Amino acid sequence: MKKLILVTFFLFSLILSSVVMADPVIIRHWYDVPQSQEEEYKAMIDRFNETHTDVQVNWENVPSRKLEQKVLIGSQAGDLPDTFVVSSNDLAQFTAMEILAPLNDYVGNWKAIDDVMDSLWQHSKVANNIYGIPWKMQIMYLYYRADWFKEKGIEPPATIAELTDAAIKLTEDTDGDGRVDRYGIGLRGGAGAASHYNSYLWTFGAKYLDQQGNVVFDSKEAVEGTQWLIDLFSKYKVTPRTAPADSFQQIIGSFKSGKTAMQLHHIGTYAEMVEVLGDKVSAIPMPKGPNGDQGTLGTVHMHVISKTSDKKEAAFKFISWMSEKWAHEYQAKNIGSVPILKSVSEEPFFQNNRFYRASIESIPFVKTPPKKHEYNVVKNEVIGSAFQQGLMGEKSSEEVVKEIADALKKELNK
Amino acid sequence: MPHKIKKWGGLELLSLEKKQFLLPDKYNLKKKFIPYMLLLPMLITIGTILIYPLFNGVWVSFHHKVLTEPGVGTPFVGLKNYIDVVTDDVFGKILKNTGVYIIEAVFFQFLLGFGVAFLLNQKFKCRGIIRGIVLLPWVAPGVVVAMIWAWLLNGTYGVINDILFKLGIISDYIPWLAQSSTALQSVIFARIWKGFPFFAIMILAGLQAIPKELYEAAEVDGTTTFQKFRWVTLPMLKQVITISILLRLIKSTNELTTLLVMTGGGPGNSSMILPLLAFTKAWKSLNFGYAAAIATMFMGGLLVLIAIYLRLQRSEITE
Repeated sequence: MKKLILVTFFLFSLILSSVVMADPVIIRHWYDVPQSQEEEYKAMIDRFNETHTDVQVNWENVPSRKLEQKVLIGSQAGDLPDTFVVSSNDLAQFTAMEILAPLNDYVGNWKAIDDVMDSLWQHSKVANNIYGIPWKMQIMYLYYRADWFKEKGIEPPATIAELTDAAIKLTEDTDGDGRVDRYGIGLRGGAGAASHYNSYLWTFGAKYLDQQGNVVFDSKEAVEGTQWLIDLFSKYKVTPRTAPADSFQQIIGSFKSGKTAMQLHHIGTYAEMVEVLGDKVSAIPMPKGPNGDQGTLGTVHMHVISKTSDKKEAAFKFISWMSEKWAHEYQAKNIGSVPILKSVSEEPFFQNNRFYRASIESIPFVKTPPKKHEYNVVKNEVIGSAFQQGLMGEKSSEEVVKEIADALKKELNK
Repeated sequence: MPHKIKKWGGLELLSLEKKQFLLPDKYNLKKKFIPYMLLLPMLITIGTILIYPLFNGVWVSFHHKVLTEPGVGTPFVGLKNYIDVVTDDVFGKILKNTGVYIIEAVFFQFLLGFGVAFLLNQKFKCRGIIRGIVLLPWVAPGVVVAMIWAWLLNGTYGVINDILFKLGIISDYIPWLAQSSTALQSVIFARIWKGFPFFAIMILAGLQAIPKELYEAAEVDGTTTFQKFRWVTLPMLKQVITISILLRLIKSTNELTTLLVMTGGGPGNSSMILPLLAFTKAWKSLNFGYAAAIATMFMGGLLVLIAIYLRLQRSEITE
C-alpha cells in the first residue's frame, strides 16, 4: 500500500512538473526591416517574448529583395518558417503555390477583428479565404516642396491638369549654367515602375479587369494615362532625363537633394524626407484625373502562416498580437505605416501629421492590381519594359497599352 | 617478411605477423586506386554541387515546371520550352545583346590588360605599388563596382557627366543608363574596368617567364622591336592568352551582378542578355522549365564557341 501511494505520488509529481515546466513553443519568423528600423522591430519582438511564456519568437531579418527568393527556395526545400510577411502584391503568387495556410477559422475568433478597418480584408483574401493578418499599409501619395510652391504662388495640385501646370512652372535652370537642374516631378521608370504607372493610370480611370475577370486594360483611359506620362518626359520635359531607369534610390534621392519638386511615394519614406527637408516637404493625396476619377496604389503587408507549420495556434497568437493595439500603434509611429486599426487612426498623433493625414484621406480611393499570379508575370516581364520603351519614344502609348493587355490575356488564357 | 598467402575474393592477400594483410605489389593496386581515393572527397563535392544540378537543370528544361502551378506537376514537354524561347519576340534582340556583351567586354579587357602588362613589365619607381593598385578593380566585390559605376554614370548628378560638361564636351548631362543607345555599352565599360587587371596580371606573368636569351638571340640576328614582339613575345604568350581569354569568356557569361545592379536588363530590354533573362524567368515569373531551357542552350553555345576557339589555336600551333 505504501509503495502504491509512493508510486502514485511520484507519477503525479512528474506529470505536474511537465505541465508547469513545459517548454514554450518556438516560432520561426521572417521579416524584412531596413537597418535603420531594426531596433524598433526588435523591440516589438522582445515585448512579445517578455509578455508570453507559452510562445517565443525567433526572428530573422531577411533583406526585402531576398525575402521573396528565400520563401521560394524554402518552399521547394520544405524549409519555410512558421510565419513571414507577404505583400498584397505577392499574395496571389504565394497562394497559387499553395504554401499559405487559410486563417478563416482563426480570424473568426480573434478579439480585435472589429478594430481592423473593414476595407483592408480584401487585400488579404483570395477566393474567399483569408491568408494574412493586415499589419502595415502604405498608400501612394504625392510629396511636394511646399517652399517652392509658395515661392511660385502655386497651390498644391488637386487635379492632374494642375499637377502638369505646376510641374512645368517648377522646371527650371536655377543656377544659370544653361542646364535644367530642377524638375517639376520625379518619375519611376526603372525597377518597381508598375506601382507608379498603375497609380497614375487608375487616376485616369483605367482598369485591368472587369467584374467578370475579362481584360479591359486596352481602353481609351489607359492610352490617355500612358500618353500623359510619356508627355511629362518627352513633350513637357518636366521629369529628370534618367526617368526610364530611375528606381527607388534615384527618385527618393532626387527629391531629397532638391532635384525634383514632386514625387509619388508613401508613408514609409516620410521620416527620412522630414529629416532632410523638415517643413519644406508636405504631402497631398493623388490629384483627380481628367474624368473625375481618383486612384492610388495601396499595399498591405500582412503576416501569414506557412501551410507546413505544425504550430499554427501559436503562430496565430503571435501574428494576431502584432496587429493588436499596442504593437500596431508602436509600429505605425516608429516604423511608418498608415494605421490599419480604427482605434489607432483616430489618435491625434496621426490626424495632426500631414503625411499620415494624406494617407488616411487616400483610403477611400485605394486600388490594388488584379489578385492573380498571371498579373505578377505580366508586371515582372512586360509592364516595366513596355513603359520604358514608351518613355524613350520606341513605342506609342497605344502600343504600350496593347502590349500589356495582350500579355495579360495570354497569361490568363494559358 | 610476408610468409603466408590467403585468398580473399579474387585477390591473394599476403599475411604478415600479427595478422596483418598486405596487397601484393604485383597488382599495382596502390598506383591504380590510391589516386582515386584521394580525389574522391573532391569528386563527391563537385558531383553534389555541380554535376547533379547541371544534369537536373537539363532535365528540367525538357519539363514544364512553374511554381505557381503545383497541381500540374512537372510533366515532360519535350522541346516546348526551347521552342518558346526561340519564338519569343525579344529573343533575337537579346541574343544579339548577349554576343555584344560577352565579346566586346572580353576583347577590350584583353586589349587594355595587354597594354598595362607591358607597361608593368618595365622598370620604374614604385612598380610594386602600382602593380597592387592595378589589381584593385578585379578584387573589389562585383556589387560595389556596379554601384560605383551606376553613380558615376548617373544622368542627374554623376561625376562623369559633370566633368564632360565642364570640359565642354557635352552640352547637357547624358542619361547613360536610361537610354537604349548607351545602357548596354555603359555596363560593358564597367565590366572592362573590372576585368582588365586579370589579363594584365596573367600576361605580365607570361612576359616574365620568357627567357631573356631568346631576346638576346633575336638582337644578335638584327631584328627590330616589332619583329621581336611578333616572333618571340607573341608565340611565347600564346598559351597564357588562350587560357586567359577562355576563362574570361566563361566568367563573363556567369557574371550578372554588374548588369543586374546597373540596369536590370533595361531600359526596355536594351541591356538584357540571355543569362539575365534566365534569372528573371526563374525568380520573377517562377517558370523554371523556360529558364532551364535558356541556360542549357546558352551552355551548349558556349561549349561550341570554346571548342572552335581551341581548334583554331591548335591549328595555328601545328602550322
